[in-house]
Amino acid sequence: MSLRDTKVRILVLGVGGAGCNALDRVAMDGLPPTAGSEQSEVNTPHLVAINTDLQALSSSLCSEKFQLGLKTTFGLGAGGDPAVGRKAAMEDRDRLAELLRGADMVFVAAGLGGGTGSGAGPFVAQLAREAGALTLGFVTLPFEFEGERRCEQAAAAMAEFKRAADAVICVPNDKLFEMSGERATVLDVFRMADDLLAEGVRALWRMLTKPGLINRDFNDLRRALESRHDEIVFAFGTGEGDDKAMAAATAVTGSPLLGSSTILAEAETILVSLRGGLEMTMTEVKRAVSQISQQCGQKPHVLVAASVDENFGGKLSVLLIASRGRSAAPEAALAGPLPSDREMAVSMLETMAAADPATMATKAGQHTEQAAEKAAHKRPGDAHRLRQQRLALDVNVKGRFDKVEPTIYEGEDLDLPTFLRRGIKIG
Amino acid sequence: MSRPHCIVGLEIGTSKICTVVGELRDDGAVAIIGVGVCPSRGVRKAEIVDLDTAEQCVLQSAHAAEESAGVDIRGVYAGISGAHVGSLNNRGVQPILGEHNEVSESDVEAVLRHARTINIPNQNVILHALCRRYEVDGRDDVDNPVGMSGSRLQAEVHVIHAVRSRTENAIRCIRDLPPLEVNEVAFNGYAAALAVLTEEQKQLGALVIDMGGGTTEFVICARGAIRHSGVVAVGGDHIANDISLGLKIPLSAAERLKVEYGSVLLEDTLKSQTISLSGEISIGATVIFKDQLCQIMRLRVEETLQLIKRELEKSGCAQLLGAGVFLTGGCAHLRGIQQLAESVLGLTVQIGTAKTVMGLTEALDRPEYTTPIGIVRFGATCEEMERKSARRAGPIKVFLNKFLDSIRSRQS
Repeated sequence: MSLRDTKVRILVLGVGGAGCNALDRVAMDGLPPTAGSEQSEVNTPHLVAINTDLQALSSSLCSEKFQLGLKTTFGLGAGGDPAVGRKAAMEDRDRLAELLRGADMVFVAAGLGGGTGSGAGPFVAQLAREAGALTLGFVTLPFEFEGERRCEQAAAAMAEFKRAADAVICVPNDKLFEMSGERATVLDVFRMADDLLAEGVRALWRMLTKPGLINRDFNDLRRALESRHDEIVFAFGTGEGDDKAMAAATAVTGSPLLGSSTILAEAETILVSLRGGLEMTMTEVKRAVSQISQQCGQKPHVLVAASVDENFGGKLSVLLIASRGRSAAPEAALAGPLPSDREMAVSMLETMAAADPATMATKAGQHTEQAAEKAAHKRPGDAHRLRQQRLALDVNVKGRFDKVEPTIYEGEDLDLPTFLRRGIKIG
Repeated sequence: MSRPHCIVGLEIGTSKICTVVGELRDDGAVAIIGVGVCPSRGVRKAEIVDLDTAEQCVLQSAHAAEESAGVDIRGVYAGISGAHVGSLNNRGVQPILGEHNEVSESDVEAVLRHARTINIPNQNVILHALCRRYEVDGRDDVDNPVGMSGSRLQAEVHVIHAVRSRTENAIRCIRDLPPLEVNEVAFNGYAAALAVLTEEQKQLGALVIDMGGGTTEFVICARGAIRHSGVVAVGGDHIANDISLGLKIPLSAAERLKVEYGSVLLEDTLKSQTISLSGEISIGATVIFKDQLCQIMRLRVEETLQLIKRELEKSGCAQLLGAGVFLTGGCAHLRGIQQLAESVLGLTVQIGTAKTVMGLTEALDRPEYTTPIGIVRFGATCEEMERKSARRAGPIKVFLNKFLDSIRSRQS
């Protein structure tokens, strides 16, 4: 069964402030519907913003909004208390179950540490699994400066999420410090966290739905991830130029998001999803994948997916999901060698048939121009941006309290604006 | 006929320096006869950061009060606040050895002395040691144990302490301006409670929250006595700062928006309302969306109220507040704060103004004056006890009597 052939219902849920922010990013760029043969239905993913804070919810860009726990929080938000977030979700248990009914796959995106994401997020994931969906959590952990309480709450919520969902992909925000420049403000870094969450959702979606060189279908993913209950690490990197495959692979394996190198060394399953332009070749795919697998200590099961995006010419980006688990290993069939050249040729024909022949010529021309442009502005790989020490916060974020003794309450610096610490975007 | 004696309360606040002049009448009532206010500079989070500038403001405030009341000001009672103020509850025990096992005055003095001996940090000094109740041989809630029979006397005391050096900063600021002198110091939160709560409300139980420019003080009363008190160094300044950073406008514009247009409520009508900053030198926006302004404000105020709620829960008195919550201080003017506070705290909330004094209604009606008015109230209590004290056997005895009486009368 392939997503391109059958109608598979997929929900992407943002729970809490950060989750909804990330969904806004996804909504802005759009999740493209799957293209397929005339007979198949177009799968439009449903993006639903779920929040207790009415004001934040109303400013969300998602067309579908779900007000959580009106009787619990009166539209005021969970106040950074996961118990309140959970209570709010339980209040709306039936409505949530109705939303999730018939879903085959559910992404739950949430920023942990506060109230709604931490409290309601795991509960929603649990309901999604109960509804029979493959449930993938996508969460961020707070920055260290957000204080002890939030970090502890996030850790507890993380454990619950792992129990509740099939698999949870986690990105600690502090890793983003290492990836951003020195002039980054706190707001910039919060936005990076949102972008990352959005990118992860988009990348997985793309892997599942876009026609490509190698297609992994939904069942593959389900078999690989179902009931793993592990913490899964995710990283991505992009490469350009002549040796973009190598560049992308190096960027990915060197990404600070992977933390210490042990995750790769101990990974039992890795999922490599590549995204390239029309000119992407099988050789490049093999190159990137073998480069990455070499970094893995044990012989992991390797799941590869490669999708073609006509707007992505001249670049190759790699999404890596690595899991280190003791759960049941995926079936041997999945861990087989990369498709033969013959299979590749067939895939490519399919791809070309799917794309519109008329625009292909024009795009090809454009791509050449774009590729030349991009070569001129070569983007340094993320690996080069590894920083050893913590970045100092941009002092402007404290305004009038810049040189005053800070007000610390339970490990949190209250001089920083509340909206900033809660990750709520203004405007 | 002697002129009524004047009692002056002086609050060196973050947004204003306020001097209040009161009269202590023969019947013990306090009447406010004059107020002098000066915008405060050199004070952050209720503590002096620029002594010279603060002194200038104190001088102006005191002069304005002298004009207003038509008196000369010499000795003042000064208010103290800041993140360095803390509190705890302590107990003292004293065996009753007197004749017929009756509790004597000296027994009471001794037990209070013991109660006062507690481990506070070395650098701290006690501002108040307020007796909550006495216990004689297990029989508690005793008001005045003198004359009762028993073998053991206990006293429970609520102690409010502060860092000595920071307290002395405030005192020095005033002493540097002769002829001003400091008679006594009081914790601002305690003073606000003195002004706002009637005897009945203290008995029923109440929470007083004083949200000012630099800090938020809170005092929890139950069964007539203070059970918990403290300071969170977050105030109106933080609201303006959040607005300034969130909307990318200068602080002065943020302050003005907060006061003129700000609200902490969610309202449907706010969605598209805008405010134009005309004639301003603004860095970023010149058009402000009202709903963004209110969202920023609401988040900050809600958070601060949630902190106070946690303190209330810590005190164990959440179920004992029969009279509910009294919200006072400059931030009590914020549109919608009463409703927001009710929603966060789950209790009835009133805006608190000075109820235990008479006099100038313009002063009494304003929640931002409850602290300096309360300091006058405190001063009046101190002086009343000095009058009552028969023996003026020396400064130490006078002080002790005053101290003991203030504890015994339990802020009445």
